[in-house]
Amino acid sequence: MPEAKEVFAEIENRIKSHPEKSAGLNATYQFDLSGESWTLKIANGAPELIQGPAQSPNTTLIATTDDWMNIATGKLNPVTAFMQQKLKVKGDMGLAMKLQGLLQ
Amino acid sequence: MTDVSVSSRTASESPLTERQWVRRGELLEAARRVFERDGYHGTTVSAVVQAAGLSQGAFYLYFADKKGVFAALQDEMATLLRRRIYWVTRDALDARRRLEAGLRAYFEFYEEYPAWNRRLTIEGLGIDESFEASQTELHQTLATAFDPTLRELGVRATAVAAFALLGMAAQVAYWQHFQRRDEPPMSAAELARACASLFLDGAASISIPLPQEGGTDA
Repeated sequence: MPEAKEVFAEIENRIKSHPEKSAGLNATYQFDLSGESWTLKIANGAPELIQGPAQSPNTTLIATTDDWMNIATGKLNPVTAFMQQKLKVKGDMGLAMKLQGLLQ
Repeated sequence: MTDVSVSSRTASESPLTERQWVRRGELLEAARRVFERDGYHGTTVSAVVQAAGLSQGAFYLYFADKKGVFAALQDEMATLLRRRIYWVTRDALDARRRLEAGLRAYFEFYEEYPAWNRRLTIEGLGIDESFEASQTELHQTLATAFDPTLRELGVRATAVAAFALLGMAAQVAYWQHFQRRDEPPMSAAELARACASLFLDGAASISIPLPQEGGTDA
C-alpha cells in the first residue's frame, strides 16, 4: 500500500499530464484524512499540492486514511464509499465529481 | 475514477447534484447485480430499476438504455482494475515481483467480482462493437503497462507476450472460479506465482524474429 503522500503526488502528476481535462478550472480541494490534511489547489487548470489544510477550500473530502487509500488505489468505488458514508464531502459537490473525472 | 458524465447526459448539461450522483451509483450497482444474475441479453431496464428501487424515469435521467448502463459499468470496472494494477506494480523494483503483483491484483479483482467478469468474458465481446473496443482498449493499456517489465525480463516479442499473459490470466481466472472441479482452490497469490512461472519460462523462449519483424514463414 502506498503512502498518502505518494497518492496525492500521483494525483497532481495525473492532472499535469492531462491538462486538457483541467483547463480553466479554479478550485481548492481539501482532503481531511486520519490526523492529516492535504490541499490540492488548481489555478486555471494548474495543480499545486500542499501538505496541510486550505484557508478556504471549495470542497473538503473527508475519509479515514485507509478508506481514502482504498478509493485512490481502486479497491473501493468512490460512489460506494460515499453511499456507505466512508467518504464525506463538504462544500461544492460538483467540484468533487469534477475531481473524479480528472483522475480517470 | 469513472467520469460521471458518461451517461445519456450530455457534456453541456449541468453537473450532477449529490443526490443524482448517488442515484446514478445505485443504478450502476443494481445493474451490475442484475447483469451478473441474468446476463446481458436477459437483463431489462425494468429489472434494473426494480433492483435499485427507483422508477423507469430515474433510469433514463442517467442512461440512454441498457447498453448505456452496461458501458458505464464496463468503464467503471476497468478503471478499478487499472488502478489496482498500477498501484501494486508501481514501486516493485524487481521485474518478476512486479509481474506477480500485477497478476495477483488481477486474480483478486476477479475473485471479488467473479460473476461480472464471467459475464464480460462470455458475453461482453459478442454484444456490440463498442464493448469490444472498450475491452480492446483495456487490454492494450495493460499490455503497454507491462511492456517495460517484459523487456526487463528479457522478453523480446513483448506485444505477443503481453497479450499471451493477459489471455492466460483470464482463462486461469475463469477456470478457477467456474470450471475447476476436484482440484483444491488456489489463492490469488498462488495463481499469480504459478502463472508468472509458466509465463516467464515460455516467454523467454519465443523464437524471433517474428514474421512481422522481418523474419520469414519458412
